[in-house]
Amino acid sequence: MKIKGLLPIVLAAVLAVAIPLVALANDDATITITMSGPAVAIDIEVEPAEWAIESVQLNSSYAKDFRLVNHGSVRVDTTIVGTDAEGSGYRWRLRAFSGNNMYEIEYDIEGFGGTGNVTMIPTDFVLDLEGGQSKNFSLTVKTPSSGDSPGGGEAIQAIVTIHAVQG
Amino acid sequence: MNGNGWLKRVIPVLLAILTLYATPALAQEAEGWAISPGEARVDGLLLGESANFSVTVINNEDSPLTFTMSAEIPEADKLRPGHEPIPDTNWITFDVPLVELDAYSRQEVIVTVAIPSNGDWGGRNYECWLRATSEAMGILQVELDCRLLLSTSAAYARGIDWTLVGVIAGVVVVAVAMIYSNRRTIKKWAG
Repeated sequence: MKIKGLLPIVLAAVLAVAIPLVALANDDATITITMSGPAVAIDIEVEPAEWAIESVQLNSSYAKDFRLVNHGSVRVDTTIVGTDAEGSGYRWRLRAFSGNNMYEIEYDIEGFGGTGNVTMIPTDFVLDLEGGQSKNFSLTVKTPSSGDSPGGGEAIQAIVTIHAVQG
Repeated sequence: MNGNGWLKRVIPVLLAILTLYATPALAQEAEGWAISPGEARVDGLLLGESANFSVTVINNEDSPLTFTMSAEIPEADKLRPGHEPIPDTNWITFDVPLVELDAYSRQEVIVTVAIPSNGDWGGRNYECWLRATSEAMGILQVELDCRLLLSTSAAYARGIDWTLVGVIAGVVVVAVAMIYSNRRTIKKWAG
């Protein structure tokens, strides 16, 4: 009678221990970290790397040619985004047209790359740029037709960001 | 002119020609900056656990550069198929958030991915972009991203505490076994 009653209890105890053990075995799942290899780098360059516009005036246009080079070995997609321009105590809003305290930045990519306005939302720029390839483009800044303007020697700061990720 | 005199004049000319042709090629390779790898994958990360790996920021310029490291949520249309944006960029930390590199140098940045222990994060495929942003050069700035593809373990996907399940199952089995082995006594008692 005692043995008969003990057997289910032992079985139950084994079961109670076994389930958590199975669960623990599940928890030991391997974490795998895979990298795309040291030779694979996102390596783009904008030539020239710097564009500082001197003596900015209202109702004016400033253009410059650039080259986007993919020095890496993988295909990259790029986006472009801009910011408002900030001077001391005033701001030019980045818009698709220039107006009172509103300025615009246009881009023009060679060939069938297209033209458009740089906005404050990232926009597709040069896509499918293969490793070792380059693409010419130009940027044109059109300052506000009216509004606040920087005084002599005063700086106004805007940033155009080109962003690249593996395609 | 003897043989040696001829060589003495030709060798510098050859070296000059080689230098002229070699310089643009070297300059081409030695410009810009890079982030490596372009894509990293972490598979099988459990809730409440973390994993480390490194990305390298490389300065190929002849002047020092400063980079800011950040984790960014990709736009939906830029995601790899089958992946969703990482819910919280706070899951990602960098041991060096601000990288200051001398000319022609590189630095490894340790990236830690930590998944919170609570929440319905299991059995998912997430994507996050690990971004290095250069300082602005005039109005121009460049950002380079390493895609991080992260999959969390399905073992915790249902949020089941298996230890608790085991204890409950054990208690139930013991109770059933005791009732079964004492069924006659119970019958008598029940009358």
